[in-house]
Amino acid sequence: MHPVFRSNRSLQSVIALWLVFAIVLSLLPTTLAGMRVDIGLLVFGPWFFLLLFFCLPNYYISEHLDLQKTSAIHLLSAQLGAMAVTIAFWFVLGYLWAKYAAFLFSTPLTSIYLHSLRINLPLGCGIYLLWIFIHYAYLLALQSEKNQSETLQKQLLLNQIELQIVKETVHPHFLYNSLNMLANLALAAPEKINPLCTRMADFLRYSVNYGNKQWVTLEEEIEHVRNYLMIEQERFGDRFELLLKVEDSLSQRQVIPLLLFPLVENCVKHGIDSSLERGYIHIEIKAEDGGLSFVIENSYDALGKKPRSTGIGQKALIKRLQAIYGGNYRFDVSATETSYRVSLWMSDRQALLEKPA
Amino acid sequence: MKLRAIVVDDEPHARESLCRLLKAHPEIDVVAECQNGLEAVKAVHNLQPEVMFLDIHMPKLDGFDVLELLGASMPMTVFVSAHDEYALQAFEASALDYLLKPVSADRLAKSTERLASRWRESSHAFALPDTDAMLRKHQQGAAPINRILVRDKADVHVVPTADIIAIEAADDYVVIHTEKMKHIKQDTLANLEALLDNKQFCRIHRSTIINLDYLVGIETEGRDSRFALMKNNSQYAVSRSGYAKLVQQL
Repeated sequence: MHPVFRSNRSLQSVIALWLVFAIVLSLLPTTLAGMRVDIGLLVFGPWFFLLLFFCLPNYYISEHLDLQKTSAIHLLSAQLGAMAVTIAFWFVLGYLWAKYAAFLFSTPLTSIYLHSLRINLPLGCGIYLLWIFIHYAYLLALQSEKNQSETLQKQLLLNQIELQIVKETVHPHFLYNSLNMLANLALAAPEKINPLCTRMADFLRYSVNYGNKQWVTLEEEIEHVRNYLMIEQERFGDRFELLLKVEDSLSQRQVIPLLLFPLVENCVKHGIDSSLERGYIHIEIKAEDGGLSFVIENSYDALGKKPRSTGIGQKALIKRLQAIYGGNYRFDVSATETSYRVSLWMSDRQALLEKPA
Repeated sequence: MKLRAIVVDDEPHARESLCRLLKAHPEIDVVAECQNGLEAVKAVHNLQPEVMFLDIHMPKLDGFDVLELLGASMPMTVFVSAHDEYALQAFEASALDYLLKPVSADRLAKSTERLASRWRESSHAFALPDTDAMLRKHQQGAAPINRILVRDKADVHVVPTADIIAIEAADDYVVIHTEKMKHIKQDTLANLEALLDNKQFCRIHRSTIINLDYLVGIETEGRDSRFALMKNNSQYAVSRSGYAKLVQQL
């Protein structure tokens, strides 16, 4: 439906405005033809007023002929053709009206009407063109608003995923396990409580606060997973070996927050936690191929007890990467009987969200 | 009267703190600490304790696996877990009590009271766990198992299902044949059939399940007398209905 008809108010205001417009317009041929003002208004007034309802249907044509998708020639010829047909029809209607008015007032109005065509023809075409412009301007504004809301929606989705990750991280299980460990340490090794609490506080603070940030440094990310792994190491009594290889020059590189945590948590849950033998977690980070490359590998026991896992962490991470990097990332998993390896690569440029300079 | 107990938990601090709390109860004597399910099975077999404090979430074998392996030789068991989601399952497995971590001294006192009175009442006679039902429940709707746990006195073998050539029923037991050795397990064929991957395994006879990956051919001797030939040259009789199943599965 034409936006003018969508509310009574807009229809009323457009009609009122057009009424004034029609009177002003009809004065033009009236004065030029030297007619009496009242007769001029009577002949041309309703006619010009009617032009509004000839122009409004152009909205549907404009809507159909999208500015971006239609070729210029097609668009121009179709719109001009529509204009020619509409204006011609309008003129026929005007002629009939003039003839009727001539009969009513017994004045030779038809000849005056035909005579004033010289002025009225460009005037009618001009008004029709004006409406074409109004319609396209309106449609463009509508489109840009839609784009904007789509961007907002995407951002909202991203925020939701991020919130979900925080929830996962600060999962009750982690809190239970941590409290439980502190209760045990209070009896078994009280001197370990203080440094451990500090680590837990750092870990939780980072997990919760990161939502305010879009980018963090690689150094901060590594510190966060190191905190997590040290807490787990304390809990399980040195059950795995951690090997972390990061080029020093990369420490200030920008990455998305909580990039590593879901991957490292998986290493512990599925690799270390299900095997009796002492395991390993190897993390290697380097600059490669115009981006950052991460390889995270852990030992794996195919016959170990598997945790009931939903795999939400990793799925959510992939969704985030997709939303932030578009196609400019790679995520591969390779598994053998005794190892599990995630390879991740992200382009330095072309993230959809702007990185700080 | 003293009850000898073992404490099973994969977290060293958890074991230590529970042992410390138990020191306040002279009637309980901790004779061993085990850091995983294998050690627990071994300790129960070697030490025959009256009481076992058993963590649920442990690597390789969890608490329920331990009870399944112990079967009738299960001591009075108190589950100790940080999570309450297994409580119902634990009582189905005939656990005497279910302690939530961190364990409070008061709650532990109640538990030891319960242990002592149960011991006085009925000596060691208490309901045995329905391990079959337990396992089935455990597996319901889950993916097929990829391993079978077998206990040989104090030792636990984790047999990958991929290594199994055939399983034969023998009285109350099943005999699991692998390339390297035979394992004997107290279980029923029907139970294993339900747990195993039905694309890989086929029950070809009332008393035989075979692994189709090891099947070389089927030999026919007269009417309705068929044998399945396996890669290791062993052969198993195929019943008429077993043959129909086999044909369908292949």
